[in-house]
Amino acid sequence: MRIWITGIGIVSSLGASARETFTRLSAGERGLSRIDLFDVTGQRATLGAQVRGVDVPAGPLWSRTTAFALVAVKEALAEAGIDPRRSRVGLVVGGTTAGMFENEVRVAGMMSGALPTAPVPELRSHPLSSTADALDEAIGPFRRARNVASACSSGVTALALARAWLLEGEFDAVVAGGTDGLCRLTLSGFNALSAIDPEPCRPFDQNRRGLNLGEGAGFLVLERAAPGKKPIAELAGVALAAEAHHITNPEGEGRTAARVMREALARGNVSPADVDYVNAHGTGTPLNDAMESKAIRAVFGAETERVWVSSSKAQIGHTLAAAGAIETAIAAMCVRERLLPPTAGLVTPDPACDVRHVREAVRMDRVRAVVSSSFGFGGMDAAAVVTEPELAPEPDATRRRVVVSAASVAGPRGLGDGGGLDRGEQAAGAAPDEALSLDPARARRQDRSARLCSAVAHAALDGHASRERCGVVFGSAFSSVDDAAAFVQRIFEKGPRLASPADFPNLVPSSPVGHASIYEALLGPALATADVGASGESAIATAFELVASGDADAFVAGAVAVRSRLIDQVFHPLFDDGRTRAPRSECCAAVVLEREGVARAVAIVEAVRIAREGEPLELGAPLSGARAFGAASPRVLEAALAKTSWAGVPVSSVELGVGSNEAAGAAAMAAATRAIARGETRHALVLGGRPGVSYAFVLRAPEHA
Amino acid sequence: MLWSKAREIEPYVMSQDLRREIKELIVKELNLEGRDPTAIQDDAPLFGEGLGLDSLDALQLAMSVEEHFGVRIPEGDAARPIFKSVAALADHVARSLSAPGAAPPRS
Repeated sequence: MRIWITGIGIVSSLGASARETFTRLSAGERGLSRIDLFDVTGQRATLGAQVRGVDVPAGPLWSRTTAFALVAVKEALAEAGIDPRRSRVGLVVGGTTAGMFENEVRVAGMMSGALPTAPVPELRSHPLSSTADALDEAIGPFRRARNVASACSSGVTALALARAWLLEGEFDAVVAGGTDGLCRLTLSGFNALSAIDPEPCRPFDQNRRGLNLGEGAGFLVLERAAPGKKPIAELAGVALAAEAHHITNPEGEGRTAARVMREALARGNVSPADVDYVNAHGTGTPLNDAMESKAIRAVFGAETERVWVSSSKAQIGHTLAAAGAIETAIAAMCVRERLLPPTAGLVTPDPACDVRHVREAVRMDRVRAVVSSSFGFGGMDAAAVVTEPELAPEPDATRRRVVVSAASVAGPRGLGDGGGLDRGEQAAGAAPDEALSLDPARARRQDRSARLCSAVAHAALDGHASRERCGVVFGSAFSSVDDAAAFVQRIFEKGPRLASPADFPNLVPSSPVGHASIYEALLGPALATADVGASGESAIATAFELVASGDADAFVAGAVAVRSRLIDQVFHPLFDDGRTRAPRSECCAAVVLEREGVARAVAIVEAVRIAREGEPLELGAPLSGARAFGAASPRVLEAALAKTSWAGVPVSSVELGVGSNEAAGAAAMAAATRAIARGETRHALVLGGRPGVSYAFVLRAPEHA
Repeated sequence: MLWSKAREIEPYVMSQDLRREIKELIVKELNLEGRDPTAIQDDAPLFGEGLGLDSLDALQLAMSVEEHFGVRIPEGDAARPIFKSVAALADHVARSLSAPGAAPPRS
């Protein structure tokens, strides 16, 4: 299957369109200025690539971050000539900040007691899922929408998932990319890490001192190649992997960085000899640029002398979750325009960055293939390969069957394959520390979410899955919102110089999976998803899609919900219409999904269905003795089943201690897996969802069992 | 800011107390769960081999020292000799606090 890029949209500090951004990039212009979006008094570095002149639509779902995404998505769809109201279009959003800028002062005030802790409607723009929800309202409905986060590689992760969706054959197009906006939290955090150059940054220069933060959005419309369509370029290959090394520092030799570049090339049947240009991650930090240069040398060998390399970040800043998508869009424009933009700010190349630098824009006869790399906190690495249409042999489009091989749950009753949750016992509180049995030295940097994810991943894998191509994905509706609020409150109280460098990395939404990946040495893709009450369902669906597409051989997939004052008192009342207001219990639940044939299968994942409100759930017929599992009450589950071919099947309602809980869907999946493993049923349906969207997973025991 | 009062106290006692305080700060701020602060050697290297700390710990320790003692640790290579050991860090803190007009500049 060939994937064509048929539309591109960019918002950057250089302009609110792809054309303007690319023209000014190629001219070597730099969109850096003193940040004036908020008070930067006391910050070590105050220069950034702030976007000016983009209007934010009125309404509680909207943030600057989401407004950037709207502009870029509309530009991309217009260029492709695609209207989500007339075609089957999917939406994948990579993002890490959503409404943090709009809400950080408010949640900090709620944490300190300066403001009443109340469900004010403006906080609807806080969860990461607000971006897809707002876009869906404004220009949708999209057939399927997903929010993913893998720190600074989120944009490429979104593209990988879009490719997986196109493989299914049920979409006319998928629009995918990333968006992030500047906020006090990220500026203070990167400053605390001494990662920001107070002056305009200098990627690959021997005097480089760090990055400049930026903001913006990049989205690409991807379609399966077909006669009559006019591509900008081909997305030949994408690859995701994790370093399993350190929560902030890249592994110095760039082994995983090299691995994702090689894999993305191999998946696209593109040889290093076809590549004319690398749009590097090139942040300008001492560690990244040296590591990345080594990785480029490792991949290209003797070809390194020929392959041009530049970084766009000295001109548009490091746009975090948007970076990988913006830079893949730039790569596509390089192919179409046959023009390579330079690395601005590079004066004296560092001998440790011994690659062929683009010092001023280079005009080419052809740009055949471009590699775009992105590396994120937690060692989440990604690469995309963009080529001239039909440059290389057509990439493989085989989808694989997926099985579930294990389950694990941690909650107030401890850690186990069901955690006692399906016995209907009520328990409030947190998982006992001793039940998690983590090595204190290796877990010392982990917050509560990370500890739960690590313990559950460890128990679920139990030594039998290969770590090489095993990824990890956990859903979380509101990330570590209490800790983020406390971090910002501390900045207000003590000044930005006393922002905690150790706390900041744990506030990145993908941090728990990053920690779990490091703790368990999982080298496959690591990412987080968010879809309010169905965050676990969205994570398990994502794992299924990425195993089916061959992006990983296995995934630990689930959800984590820690106890939180702000979630109990602010976010649940806002998002969980009419459900319990009791403080929720802690819960983390996961299953292991693997490609068929490599695993000790408990059940085949027969179907994964995601339906919008009003659409039927197509489930096929239940075998005799089938059972249904879900986190809602039996009455709600029976009513939902009544509309499907599984009407009348006995239901098991999975109780999660007390309080509504976004790990409930994952816990129901774990309970269904356990029921099949114990021979209690051979056919199980797991029903989950959130207002407006239903998720269904059908599990069937293998024939020979 | 315990050390603002301590400048007149006898130097030997002062340096022992300061070292103890720094060790407690290290264990607490770097989450060295279960580690006994008194077991940290005054002259043992803090980073790399010694306690097994890394650059992220160095940043956290520098921030904590600034918060706790009001003493700034310079950024980059200049921090290396100061972070060599607990003793070196205590010397830097003591010197900064006893310098004339010791209050560190705030930017």
